[in-house]
Amino acid sequence: MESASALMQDIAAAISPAAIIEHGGGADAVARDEMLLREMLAPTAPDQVVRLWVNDSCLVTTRRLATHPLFEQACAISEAAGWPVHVRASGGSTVVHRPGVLNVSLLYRTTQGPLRIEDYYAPLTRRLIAALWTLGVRAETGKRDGSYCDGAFNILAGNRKIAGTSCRIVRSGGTLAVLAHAVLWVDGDVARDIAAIARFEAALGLKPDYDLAGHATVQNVLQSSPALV
Amino acid sequence: MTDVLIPADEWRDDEEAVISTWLYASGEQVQAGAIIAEIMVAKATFELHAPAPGALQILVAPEVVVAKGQTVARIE
Repeated sequence: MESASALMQDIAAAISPAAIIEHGGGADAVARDEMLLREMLAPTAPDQVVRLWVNDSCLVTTRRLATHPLFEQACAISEAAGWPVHVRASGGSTVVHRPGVLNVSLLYRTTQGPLRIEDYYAPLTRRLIAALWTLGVRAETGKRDGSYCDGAFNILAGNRKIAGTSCRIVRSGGTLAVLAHAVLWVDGDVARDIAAIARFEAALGLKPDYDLAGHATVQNVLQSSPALV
Repeated sequence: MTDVLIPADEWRDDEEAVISTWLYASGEQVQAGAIIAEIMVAKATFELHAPAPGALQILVAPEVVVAKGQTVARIE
């Protein structure tokens, strides 16, 4: 596993100065989020945990797609192309993990539920946006038609998606534990990422139709516009 | 027979919701409290728990829009 780029380290420090970036792990790294989420329901758990992590190259998909009749066949095709497929518990659709993609998992608990959906996401999206602005990226939340794993709480910069987000909420009595997760494309080849997802989804019989121009890495954004600071 | 309802107290707004995955098939035995399905709202996933033990009968397919309070399965 290669080490994080200077840009990724800067972003990580802006998100959480104390956090150390975890590297690698494949399916185990994905499963760790679920384990941490369950631990958040314990009375002794901290109120909030930030986990920054970079996985080996793989695709991470949902339990919904894992029940598809062509799933095993599609996984084999993807793995043969260098993209093993793992399954996560949170929502959305298939995403890429690889060096150059920073996973940000914010786990917290609240007794204030139920919240509006945007309020479940807000502790994560506000934190990411604040961190990116300190680095000169004018980030905001929003949908981006044509982007993969699109959603209302994407992180965009210049109307290009630079991060996808999802949430998972579990309850024990009156306590809600929330996993708010983002995959932030720091650097690397987004076209290659899209091709990997499109290959997998086509093997499932889906009809992927993604707009490459709707995606960017943070590095792309910084190179295409002068920094604010 | 016990109805399985989409909970009304998991999220506050009226965003469109779907059952993203049933974790048991119709006819399977479930335990009270077991997580039997996942509900997805704007890429946020919530759990649907069995309110009673018994055989699950699914009434709503995955990806069909559901409303808070709607009966989506029965346990017999």
